[in-house]
Formats: sequence, structure tokens, C-alpha cells
Amino acid sequence: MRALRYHGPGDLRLEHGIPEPCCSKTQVKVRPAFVGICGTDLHEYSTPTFIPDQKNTHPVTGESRPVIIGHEMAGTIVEIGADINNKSIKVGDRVSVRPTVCCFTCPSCEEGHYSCCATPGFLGLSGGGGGLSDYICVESDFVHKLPDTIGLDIGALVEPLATCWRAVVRSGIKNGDDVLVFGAGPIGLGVIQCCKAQGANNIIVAEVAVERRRLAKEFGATLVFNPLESDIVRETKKATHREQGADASFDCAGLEATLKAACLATRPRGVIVNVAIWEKPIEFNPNLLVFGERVFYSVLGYDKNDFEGVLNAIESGALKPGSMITRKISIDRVVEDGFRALIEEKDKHVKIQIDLLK
Amino acid sequence: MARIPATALRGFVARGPRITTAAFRQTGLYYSTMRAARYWGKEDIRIEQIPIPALAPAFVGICGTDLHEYMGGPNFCPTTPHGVTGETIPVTLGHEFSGIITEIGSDVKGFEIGQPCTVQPTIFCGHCVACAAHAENVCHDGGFVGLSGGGGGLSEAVCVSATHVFPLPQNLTLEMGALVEPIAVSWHAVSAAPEIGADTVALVLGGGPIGLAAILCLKAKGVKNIIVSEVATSRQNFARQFGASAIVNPATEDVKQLILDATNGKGADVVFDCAGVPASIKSACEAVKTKGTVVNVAIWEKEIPFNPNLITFKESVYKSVLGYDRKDYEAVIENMRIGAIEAEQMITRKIKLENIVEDGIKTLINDKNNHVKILVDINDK
Repeated sequence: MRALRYHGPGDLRLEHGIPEPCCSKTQVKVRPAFVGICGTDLHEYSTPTFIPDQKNTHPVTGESRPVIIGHEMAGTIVEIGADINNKSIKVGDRVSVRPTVCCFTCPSCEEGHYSCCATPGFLGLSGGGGGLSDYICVESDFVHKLPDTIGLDIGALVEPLATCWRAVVRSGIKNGDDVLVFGAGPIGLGVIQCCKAQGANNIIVAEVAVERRRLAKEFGATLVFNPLESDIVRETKKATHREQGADASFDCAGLEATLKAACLATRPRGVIVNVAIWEKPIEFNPNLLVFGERVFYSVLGYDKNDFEGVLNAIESGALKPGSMITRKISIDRVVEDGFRALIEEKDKHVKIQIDLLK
Repeated sequence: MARIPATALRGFVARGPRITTAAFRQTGLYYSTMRAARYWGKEDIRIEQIPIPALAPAFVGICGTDLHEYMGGPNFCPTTPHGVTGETIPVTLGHEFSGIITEIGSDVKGFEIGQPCTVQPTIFCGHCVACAAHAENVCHDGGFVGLSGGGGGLSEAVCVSATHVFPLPQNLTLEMGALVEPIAVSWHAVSAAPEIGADTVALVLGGGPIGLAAILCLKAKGVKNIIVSEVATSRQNFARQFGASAIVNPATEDVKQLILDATNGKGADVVFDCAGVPASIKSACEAVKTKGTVVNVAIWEKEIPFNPNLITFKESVYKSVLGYDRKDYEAVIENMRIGAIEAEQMITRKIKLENIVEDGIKTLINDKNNHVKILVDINDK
């Protein structure tokens, strides 16, 4: 079969004749239709972090480079194992894949917290196959059936939206709460939409890029600011009830400055949710949380409920993420039309998808 | 006890409109002078004669915050007029105190002269969003009697809002009354963790007064598995005596590994950071279980290296607590009354007001591991 494989930094190869994976008794075989490109893919392309090298094979998949990439995917079931858990799945179903890789045996997995596995990973990064291929086999509990009204391209948006959904659920925001979102990249835009779906009142967004500020408004932001020009802490307070600050702040930028501003702009006993992965430690004074008894959450990945939450919200119309897809490309142009566009014209693009049937 | 509205507190200082010392003096409540330990700045605490207000402190604990003010302050003590008290240094110290009621404002009901009591020294503005939500401990303009102006326990008399005075049950001495404040800090912290119960595995980082009080509170809440991480041998001994089920020395042992071994690889349900150093925040995040709670009880001196990924990978919660509220005071007093919190073992020395710097503050700085709580006995002249 065809597969786009990562051999090393800057070395992605579209290869033919890769052996088709065998569907085990507990798995289903999916033919991916659409696969989104994620910031992590771009990051891995220049600086491998998640993708295991030959010296450090992934403890669950046992694989190392080359690995098939693509973890935001939706496709059609073409085969089902003889002994699958998820009896509601049948051949021909259209599904979104939850690409969590986990060991199922560590204490976190035993309690069902698969995304917090001691040896975590993702299909499309850690081995075990990826979306950018003709076929991938996954455990039957990790596919989520798409309702008839949801297209396969929208199905491939469920993964990034599930990350955002989890962050917003974790924040515990209620109908009418005011929120502040740092960063309006794909995750920030997803958080804005999920906050709106949860009934947030003010959705205040801090974003440097003018085009992304425009997109933020399009997706539901009520106030947008350029943090280089405006004092985001003061503006947030001015916009909230009795200048108390936001009920919840979401850091989708992951900078020392954004985390500090998030703490200062959140009301006493409010919540800060980190949705970013950090490259290194930052200088931080926990007193920013102490004086105000603020709570700091951080989310990683998603679980079954997050995928179902997103699918239900799309079906009900509470989430309308279609315009996040700004381009569809073919598998032989991933670097040229996908990665480069996301790096060189990043303000113009939110989500570029590979159409595998193209 | 019924809540008494702020407007009914004529004759009481610690809240309401900004009452400066000068303005207050005009009300005629100061009618004589008294001894008081006042904070003038770094390494400058003076025992002075100052005008008297109307409630007589008996025992006053010395807190780590007092030491910080002495060594490196002013931090809490205001150098510009405090938002509520309007005062600047010098301010009278002492926020952990008990005393005897000597005078009662004309609109205050339910108290008697001569009644032994303990005081919740919270200063708050009463009208901000936090105060409106009864979260007075996070009031933007908040402070403490004994740090922010408004008098302090380290004097012969102080006026406080009747809403923040708690009569002591008969079997609690005035010494024990002075311990309610620091224990309430730990009670508030322990109450912030949703996991607390009989089967909880709790890890306490730091065996100083707040860490030791946390052990007492955890025990009172039925927790049996209390692991304490502490470097100093004498503090390890205190921790054992106070009820820790196991002790870890973070200087020589791998805290994370020991906790994992003790919990089938799961991690502690909840970790209390009562140490507040870069190593403790890291240790807390590593030793807590997936989806567990880290409660920070420390006040930090400066920025520290912190990687949010430590929270991300376990999706744990990092909560910070500050002070206490009325419920914490009520719970601590009740648990002390029924003997569930055995507080008196915290007292390691009683000293005179005149000797506060030498026998109190300097002893706690230079011999901190052999002391938990040093009380100043105001009546010992």
C-alpha cells in the first residue's frame, strides 16, 4: 500500500509497496479518507520529539523510524476483527479515529486514563501505523462512528477539537462565564468554539497575528486584542463583571508571558487551563496562583467522552468547525502544499487536510 | 454564631472604612498606653508604649511570615497606606493570637467581657467581588491583623471585628487558642483536596509548623496513610510524633520512587507542598497520581523554574490556597474540642514579649528544627 513515512528530520517519503497491516481479532481496519496536519507534525519535521529513533523504540508499538505519520484522521471501516469489543461497528461505517497509543496495564491505564499512560504515544507519531496510508488497524474502542450528517473531512477535525473540548470541560465553565484565550492557532480557535458551545458570555482572545484575530472573531470571539499593543490583563478586567477578571483562562500559546498574564487576568478562585506542550522549564512564581487561590489545570489528549462530546456538538450544530479547513491537498504534495504553507503562510491557514482519495 | 453585619461594629477597628491611626485616635478609644512589639522594617522590631485599644491578647504565636518580614521584609507589612487599614509601618505584629475580651462595641451582641477567645485575623474590604462571594481570604485589598496594620496580637490590647472573634470552648486553654490560626491554614489546605478519606495516601512535603499541622488535620479527617518528606532529623521526629505513618528524607532518598513503591506504582492521591522550594514543587508533581491533586500551601519568595508539562502528563490539578475562612476556624476549634486535633504538642517554648527577638524570632531562625511553635505570653512581664 501507499504510506507517507518519516525517516528523519526533513525526510518524509511517499512510499509504495509498504505491507498492508493485518487486522487482529480485537481491531478494525480503516481506510483513511481525510487526514489533518497538526502543529506537532510540523514540529517533528524539523525537531523529532515524539517520533522514536532507532535507539529508543516505542515501548508499546516496539517501532522506531521510519513511521507512518498522520494522527488526525477519519475514514471508512473495511474489515473487522473476529472478537471486537465495540459491537456497534460494522464494515462500511464512517469513523473518526482516536489515535491514543497506550499500554493498557500501567496504573493510569488500569483506571481508564489512557491518555495519561506511563508510556504514552499517538498513532501516526509513535508507530502502530498512521493516517497517511491506505490502511490502518486500530482497537475497536478507539473508533467513533460518524453520524450521517457529518462528512469525513469534518470527521478528521474531531481529534484536534477533542483536545480543546477536554480543556473546556476541565475548566468547569458554566453558561454565562467569561473566558480568556491566549493564541488563536488551530487549538485556540477550537477552544473558542468549544467555549461558545458551552455557553460562554465574553470570549476574549489575545493573538498577535492580525489574520488570526479575524479568524478568532469569525469563530466566536467577542473581543480580540493584540497583546503587543494592548494590556490584555487590564482589557480582560474591564470586560468582565466588576472588573474581577476571567472565570477561566486558556493558554494555547505556551509562553512564559502568556501563563503569567493568564494568572493575572483570571478572577480570584478562577481557573487557568494549559493546553500547550512546553519545550523547557520557565521562570514562574506560584504566588501568582496563591494570591487569589487560582487553580491550574493542564490537559493532554482526550478520551472517549471528549470524542463523543465533540461529535454530539457538531451534530447538534453547537460546533460548526467546517471553515477551519482552509485547504485540501493530495498525499504526494504534503511537504510542498501542506507543511510549507503552514510555516510560510501560517496566518492564512488553520487546518490543511490531505484528501487520500484525491 | 450569628454573622454580625459590618455596619453594626461601632467601636471595632479591623474592617470597614479606612480608619487611620490618627482618625481612630480622635474617636477617643485610645485612653492609655500599652506595650506592643512593632515592626519598623527589616531586622527592626521594637517593644514600645503605644495607645491602648480594647481586647487583651494572652498568647501569640510566631509564624514563618513574621520571620520573613524580619529577615527580608517588608513583604506583607505595608510601606504605602494599606487599602483597608490605611496604615504603613510601623505596625504591631502578631496574627496568631488568643485573648480575653475587655470591651464590646455598643451594637455587638453575643459576647461577654472576660470571655476567652481566638481571633481570625483576616482583613478584607467587604465590597469587592471576592468578599461578596464570601471569599474574604482572597480579597484584593486583603491583609492580616498583625501584619497589615489594624493592630496586632503582640500588644496588650487590640480591637477586632466581632464577626472574626471565636469564643473558646471550656476545655481549650488560651495557649491552644493561639494555635487555631496556623492549624486553620492547614485545615483549609487539606479541605481543598477532594480525595481526602480513610483510604487516601497523602504526601506532605516539609515538616515545619504548617506541614506538622497538616498531619494533625489529615489525622482528624481519618487519613491513615500520611507520608512526610523532610530533611531535618528533629523535624522528622516531630512528624512521627504528630502521626506520620512514614518518613522520607528527600536529601538521601528518591521521594517519587518511594511513593510509587508504596502505592503499587500509582502515586499519592494528594500532595501538600508545605516546603515551597523548586525541588518540592517538582517532587509534588512527580509523586502525585494521575488525576491527583497537588495543593500548594507555601508562599514563594521569587520565581522558580517550572515546567507545566509536569502537570500535563498526569493531568493533575495544581491548587494554591491562602489563609482560611470562617468554616476552617469553626472546624479546627471543634476538632480541638473533641480531641481529634491534639494541638498542644506544637508548643515548644513560651517566652516574654520583651524577649521576642532573641528568644523567639532568632531562635526560630537559628534553631528552627528544634522548634515548632514559640508562643509569646503577653502577661508574663
